[in-house]
Amino acid sequence: MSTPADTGAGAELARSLDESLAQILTTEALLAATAEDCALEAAALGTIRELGIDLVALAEDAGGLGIGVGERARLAAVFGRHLVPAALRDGAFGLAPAVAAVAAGGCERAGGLLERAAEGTLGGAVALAGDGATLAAAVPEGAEVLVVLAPAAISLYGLGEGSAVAVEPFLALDSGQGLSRVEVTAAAPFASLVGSKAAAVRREYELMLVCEAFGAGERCLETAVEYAGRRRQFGQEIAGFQAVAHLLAGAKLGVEIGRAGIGRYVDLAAEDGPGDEALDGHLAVLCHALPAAAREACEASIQVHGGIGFSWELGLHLFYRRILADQYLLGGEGRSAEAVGAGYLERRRS
Amino acid sequence: MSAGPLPVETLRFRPEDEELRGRIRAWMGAHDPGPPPQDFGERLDALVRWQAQLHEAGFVGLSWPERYGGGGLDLRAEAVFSEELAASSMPELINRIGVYMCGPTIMDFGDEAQAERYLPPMLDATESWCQGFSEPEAGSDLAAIRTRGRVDGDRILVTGQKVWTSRAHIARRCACLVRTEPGSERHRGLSLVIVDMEDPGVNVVALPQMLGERHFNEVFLDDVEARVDDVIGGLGNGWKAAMQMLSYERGLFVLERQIRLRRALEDLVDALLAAGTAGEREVRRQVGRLHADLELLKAQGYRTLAAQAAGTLPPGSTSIDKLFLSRVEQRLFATALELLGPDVALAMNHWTHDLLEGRSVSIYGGSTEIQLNIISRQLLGLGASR
Repeated sequence: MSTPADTGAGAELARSLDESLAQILTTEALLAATAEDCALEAAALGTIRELGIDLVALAEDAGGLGIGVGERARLAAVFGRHLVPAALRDGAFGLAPAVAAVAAGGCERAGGLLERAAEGTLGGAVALAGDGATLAAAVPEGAEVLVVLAPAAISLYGLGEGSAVAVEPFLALDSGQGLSRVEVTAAAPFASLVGSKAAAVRREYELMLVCEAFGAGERCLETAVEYAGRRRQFGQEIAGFQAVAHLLAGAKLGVEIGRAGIGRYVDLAAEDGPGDEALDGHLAVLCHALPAAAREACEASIQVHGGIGFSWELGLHLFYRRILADQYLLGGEGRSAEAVGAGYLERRRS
Repeated sequence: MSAGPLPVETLRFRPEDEELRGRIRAWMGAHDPGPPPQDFGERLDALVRWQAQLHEAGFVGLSWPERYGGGGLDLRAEAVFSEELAASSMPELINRIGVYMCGPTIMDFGDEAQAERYLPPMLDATESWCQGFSEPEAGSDLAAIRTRGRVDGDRILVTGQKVWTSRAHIARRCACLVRTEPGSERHRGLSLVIVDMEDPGVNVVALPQMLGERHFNEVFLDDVEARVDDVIGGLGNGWKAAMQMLSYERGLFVLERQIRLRRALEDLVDALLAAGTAGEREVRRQVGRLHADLELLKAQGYRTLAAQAAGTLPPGSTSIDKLFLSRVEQRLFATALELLGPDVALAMNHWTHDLLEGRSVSIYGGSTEIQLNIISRQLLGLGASR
């Protein structure tokens, strides 16, 4: 497989993003956006894009950084740690690579969009095709293109004036993200791509949702561990109580197993042998297990914090909302288990 | 506490590892004797013979140095062998405690004389090993050990009682944790002494487990004579050596166990396909959860072995492997009974056998509660909890 080797550029970017995002995406700013169900201030969004996030999933020949899948996974986890707005996440990990893949197939309009994506000026939305006609996507203001990712097909639709794509904003659990229900049945895509390159884009986007949930869950666990070592009750730190320590250790188990799962995916992607089927199989496992583990870590964190964990001001609910959104964008616990089981049964049957 | 490393490395096999896999698989195909006999004596003979054959073919101790009879390769080769062995009809190596736990501990903490004397006979199973850790008053609280080792010149006279000692009834040697410093407490003053199980002072009494099978024993030690030269890691350093030995129990062992569980899932799915229930939504979901568990257990096993091979295994991290193995194994057999239904669940068969046997996983080698304590303290840095 032609996966670029991890170069270290992504690791450096991850470190600097981690620091910068902590300054911009403060709990106060995120709480305000969530309360009002409006996007972050345009200035803040612009500052984040200026950090170069739109280039992280683009190959060098498409004007991007050409970093490897392992480093992209790490960046997505950093996105999760700081709850980067869904539209920016989708722009970086879905929109840009999808437009690049379609442009590489010779589509001129996509080529123009790609240039703007690399400049960080393209606005668009990404939806995973599912069972029904209605899809969910974070549609930012001024979005001009919608990417629909099916298992092995990318379709690009025009948005805005004259578009036949129906976009209906709704009050989302993960509010402040511009989440909307979109319906494309009456619209025709202006460009599409079918085949293994399209499958790779969808795979990559799903992996990034998984890693985002992982990063968010890990952050929740860290917060709880730090709090348990500081909060005193019954004359001692609550970390000293086995009931508390074991709850956190159980969450740590899920996080570490998840980390191993991501590591295995990255190693599989770097190998020549296994091919797309092995990657799809392992990714289905990650889509099922990692959001669930992140959710468990977040729920444990809320529990360990007690009343303050349930409060608005601490903001653990922001992580909870995002993790739940990731989990259900990927189908939810049961449906994702069914996907893993169906794939396994099919392989066993044959 | 900050974010952990991402991505972590997992074990990646090179072409030469795959070539080795091919050789082992071909050899197994030609030599696999089929499931071993049930009769205890016949079974024991068959298993010893099997390990000797595997050793003669050059497959046991692949990661050990050649001067001790090993293959001079690395942990990747060892993992390949474990995977292929688990795919055969035969159970794990009869002397797996020696090969995977005691041997590596001697290489880490023992001296050259111990290595030369004790390592080669582990490989062909001429000397099987057991580990003498737990005692009636020292179970999860292993540091409460009371068995005494009275140092007398170059001799150590060992007196006390060990319990839950797996395979003591077939072992020639025992790595025995004893208190050699009179009046010492907890982790201090302990030594890991090699005891000859043929010494007249050793009395092994069967302790049938819940299936009535003889896996473990009580071991009574009455002035058993050992040598100061046979203390692994030197007098007073027993705790460290014992902990290392336990962490070895959580490495390759988990990988091998995972493959056996994978075969159990295949059997389950074949039964469901034959019964015509595999198309049901609930069945697909349950099978999906089990398969996901096993894939992640494998990923974690590969991660641990990669870190072990690189010498970067963080202290306490193998508790993740052990804890997850317990959950996965118990969930698998519980789910199997649910999906196969009362006809299977009411009978004594390999499904119900394995469900009962699965209760041991969360107890042996450090119970689930001990693993959670280790994770809390060593991986999360939380204060002591007991």
